[in-house]
Amino acid sequence: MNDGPILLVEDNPDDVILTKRALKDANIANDVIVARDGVEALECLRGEGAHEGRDTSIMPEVILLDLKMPRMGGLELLKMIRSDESTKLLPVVILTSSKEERDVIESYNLGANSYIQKPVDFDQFAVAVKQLGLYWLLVNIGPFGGQ
Amino acid sequence: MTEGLKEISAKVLIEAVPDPVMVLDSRGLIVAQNAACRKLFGYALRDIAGKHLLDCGLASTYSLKEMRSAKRNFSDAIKEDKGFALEYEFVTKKGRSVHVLLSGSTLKDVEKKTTHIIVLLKDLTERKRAEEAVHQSEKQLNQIFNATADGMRVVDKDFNVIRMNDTLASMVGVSIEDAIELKCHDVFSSALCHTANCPLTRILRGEERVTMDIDKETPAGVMIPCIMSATPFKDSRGAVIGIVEAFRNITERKNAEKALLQLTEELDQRVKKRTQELAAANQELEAFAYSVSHDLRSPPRGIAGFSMAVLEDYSDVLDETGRDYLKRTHEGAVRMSELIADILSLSRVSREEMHSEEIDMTALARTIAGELRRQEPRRDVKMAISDNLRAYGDKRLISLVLENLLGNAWKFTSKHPSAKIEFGAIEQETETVFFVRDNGAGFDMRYVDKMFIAFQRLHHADEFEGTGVGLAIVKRIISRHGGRTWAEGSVGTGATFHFTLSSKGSEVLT
Repeated sequence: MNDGPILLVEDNPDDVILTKRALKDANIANDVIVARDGVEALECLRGEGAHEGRDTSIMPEVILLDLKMPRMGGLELLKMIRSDESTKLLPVVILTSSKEERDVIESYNLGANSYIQKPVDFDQFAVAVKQLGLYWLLVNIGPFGGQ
Repeated sequence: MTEGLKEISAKVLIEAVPDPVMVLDSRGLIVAQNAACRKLFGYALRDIAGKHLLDCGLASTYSLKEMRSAKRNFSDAIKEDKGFALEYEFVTKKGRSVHVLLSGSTLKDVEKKTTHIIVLLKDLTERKRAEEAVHQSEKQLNQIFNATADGMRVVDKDFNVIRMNDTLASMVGVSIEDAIELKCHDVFSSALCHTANCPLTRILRGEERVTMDIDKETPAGVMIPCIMSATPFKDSRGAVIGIVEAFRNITERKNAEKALLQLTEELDQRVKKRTQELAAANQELEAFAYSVSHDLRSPPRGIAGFSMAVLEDYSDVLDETGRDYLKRTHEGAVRMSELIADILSLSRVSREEMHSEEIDMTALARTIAGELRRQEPRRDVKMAISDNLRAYGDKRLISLVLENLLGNAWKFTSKHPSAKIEFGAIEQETETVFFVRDNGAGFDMRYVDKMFIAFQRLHHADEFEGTGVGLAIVKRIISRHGGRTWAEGSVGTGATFHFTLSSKGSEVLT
């Protein structure tokens, strides 16, 4: 199992709690780092600002990314992640309310690895989180070979 | 010279003249004629000798009164004694009418007394006929010249109007008589007058035809837009001696064109404005839908998520009623979320771009039917889907139509022990009518109009679930395709939903 942290970029605290609970239910014990928007997420990846001093040699196993957030949204953040040498290979899963076609297409265009619409029913949500956790944390061989 | 010789000499002389000659005595009675004269009238001398010249054939064309005055004139002319020239119409022995010019002089004796009158007769018939023909043709030409709706004139090399028709006269407000005295540019002018591009100048330079749209001006200052055509006016030897100009007044056409142009512009403006309004409305709808898609979906997810979390994690501290309330909270949130999703899909159906293509409706329906069976494998439903159904439209949207209609049929036959669903088409003269028929719960025709309106339901949620958006989506997709949607049914016996697609390109292959 890849035991690096999961970076959850999400501005809605309800969704943060529900996502964490779903991960726990799915027996995924990886650390969850929460960033409340794109700017915070970048600071975390670079060890700056609120995340000053974070060991940047430890990169997230997977980034779960909401789209609509204050300051810097998910698509803008994704663009920056993909254009930065140190982060461009990180698996990014879009996890969002919307299934608007333009969001889906734009996400894949910018290099998202997966796109998941948050289901309203918690059971389904838990299943979705579990599956993505299983895939990205167990099956997938990450760019950094599992730290 | 003796009298006899004189007489003989005179006879020989008269005979030798190639033109008809008559010799009259002093009273005007015929004494002699030559061969040419005999040929002219056809009378032998013995027929006419002693008769008055004017009695040889004048009677039939002249009245008695005219006859008397003619004879008097003739006698007076003879008496005048200084030669005469008179024109009469005779009828020959064979009945032919001939115009003859009589000219002559008197012969006098030594006492200055008139003895004879020598009359030369000149047959003018041919010339008369030619003159008449010229006159006739001139008259006909004038009729033609004046019959045309185009204004026409002939202008000589020196810019003088030498001829003009009635149409042009009334067009320019100048009489033909006045115009003949004037220069062409004083009758009907344009910006080309006195330039090298003057049509007359161009024709004189050797052009065979000059045609153009041109604004002409009358002496009164009225502008008349014309189509002008100028061609050379040639003499009998083919030398260009002027031009023939024809002017067609196109004021009405120009006005109509202007009006049409204005109308088109207005229409264009209106379309532009409407398009802008529509684009603005669409943009607003788009922004609204996007916001709904992201923001409105979060709260019900939170409610559903946390109520479920409480049910799962704290079930033991709640009694039955508490758990029921939370379950209802959860269901309400899920339902709200479904409604939001349906509103979004309805708006998406209107917003999305269409890409039309040929669709295999049979294959599409069979795929959807297979999916329905897969979801509820225990149900026994007889599905009859016709072969070779084809249509032209946006495949994704039409697929949504069939999903909704077949899904409805599937849903509303769920309480029927031997459910049957049909999908087929009826070929009509101008269009193909597709239909989905079931033998399920049906509906009351009184409420048929409500069925296609979003969120209007004819069944209660505890009978058949749903949000009431499916048929609204169907109707909107079909109307975007230029088709129609309608339904028939009755309670307990089933329902049939019909739709057409734009008649163009839609067909059933047999």
